[in-house]
Amino acid sequence: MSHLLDVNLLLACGWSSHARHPEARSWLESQASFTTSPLSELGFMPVSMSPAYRASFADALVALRNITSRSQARVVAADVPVARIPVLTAYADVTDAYHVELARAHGLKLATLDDVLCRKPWAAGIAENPL
Amino acid sequence: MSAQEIIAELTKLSRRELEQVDATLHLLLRANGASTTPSAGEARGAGLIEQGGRKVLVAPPGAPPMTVETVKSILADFP
Repeated sequence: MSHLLDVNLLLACGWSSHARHPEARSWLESQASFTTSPLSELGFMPVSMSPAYRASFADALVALRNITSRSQARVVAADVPVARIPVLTAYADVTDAYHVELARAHGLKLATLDDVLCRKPWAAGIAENPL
Repeated sequence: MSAQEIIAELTKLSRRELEQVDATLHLLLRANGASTTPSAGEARGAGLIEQGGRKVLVAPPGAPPMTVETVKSILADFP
């Protein structure tokens, strides 16, 4: 089954200084196909350009395109109604839950480095840490 | 609340909560440092390098580890 990459895995692939970069890159290159979404790409850009890391917009876009332009890459639209998200108790879970539902709707697994997310009941069977 | 009172409260936090505090402190310290005179290394932002024929980003000196918690903290400020 193909994977939808969340922002943490996308960052691990695009930043050589990320602690998991070697593993993430090897994993990505071993995939017959992988998927990104506007959500994960929209997360990659502001984190890369944030005061903590200070990438230029142009450089961040080059690094992102070096992932999304691979022959095995595809992108899914954020086309799942928000109403499909399960009932949540934490506002911080909304985007993650949406990404889980987006992956589910497209027959994908959500690949993430967030082990806490992987243990959420609503993410069971969809979110997994592939590294 | 004083700094000493905040520090005393930290001992009551779980590991996950401490990681969130750690990530936030990194960001606050960097933002605070940016208002003073940065060193040559700190003034430089991230750059692109080529690895195996593909361009990837490399963080500037002193950048915090790009952990899940750091990423969450940054995105929490993203409108």
